[in-house]
Amino acid sequence: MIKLRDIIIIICLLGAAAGIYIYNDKGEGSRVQIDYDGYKYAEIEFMAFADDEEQRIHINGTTVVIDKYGAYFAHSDCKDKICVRSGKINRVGQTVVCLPLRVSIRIEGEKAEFDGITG
Amino acid sequence: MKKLNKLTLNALLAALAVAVSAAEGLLPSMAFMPPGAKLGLSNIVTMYTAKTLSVYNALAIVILKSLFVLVTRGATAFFMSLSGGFVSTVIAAILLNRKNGKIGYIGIGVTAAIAHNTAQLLIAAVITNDGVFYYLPFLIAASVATGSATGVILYLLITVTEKRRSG
Repeated sequence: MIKLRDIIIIICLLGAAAGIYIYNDKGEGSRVQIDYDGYKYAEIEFMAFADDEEQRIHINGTTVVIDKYGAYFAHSDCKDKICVRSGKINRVGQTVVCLPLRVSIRIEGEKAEFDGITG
Repeated sequence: MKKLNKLTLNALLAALAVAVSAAEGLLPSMAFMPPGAKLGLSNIVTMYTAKTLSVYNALAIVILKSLFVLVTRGATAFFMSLSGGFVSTVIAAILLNRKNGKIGYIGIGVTAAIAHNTAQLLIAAVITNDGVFYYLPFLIAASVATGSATGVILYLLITVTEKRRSG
């Protein structure tokens, strides 16, 4: 049932997963980009928001809420609600996608831009 | 096995795969798992088919199951189901039917789960943008857990049914 190679495969995969995670982590982001149908729809700087300030964006049946500490899907008309259950994101590169409605939100930061060029 | 027996068994397994995946959809999402991650119970059925019948019978099940998904959950889910099912079934079939294979059932289950998720992630990237690759490390970790579980169940299924057939 389990052979030596299975254990090697599992260790390699978990190592790769940890490596990708650490490599991808670029700290807290400063703005959120909202894409619809694969194209950029909006970009919002949330770092400079006041404590109780929040912005709601309604797009194709979803509601994206952005506050000082990040962004999340507050509501979605889709069936599975995976995007809503994903919760709030605030680290650079973190992404939540509502596949059925083709809306995605992604956190951006200054450092990510440079990594995008060099890496 | 007679042709008719094969066809009947294939049809039964196809119905089982559809029923299992529908039942799985009713389960609440698992704790500590990335959103959208599933156990992949119907993969057990397709892998079992690939081992006991042939890879073509298994792919027939994948297509039937995807059509069921198309009717019940729409086009996006259809492409996700078809791409994931196709890639993982082909890879699992190759690994399962190798003589003197050095990879055990757990390794096969994990490899198939990774293939399933990676194919779906690629489709998701085409539909939206490459941001979905942020999910990759979480999906790999989830695949190791779910693939091990499906691998163990597949091993038990195959040993039990082989024993019955020979005994």
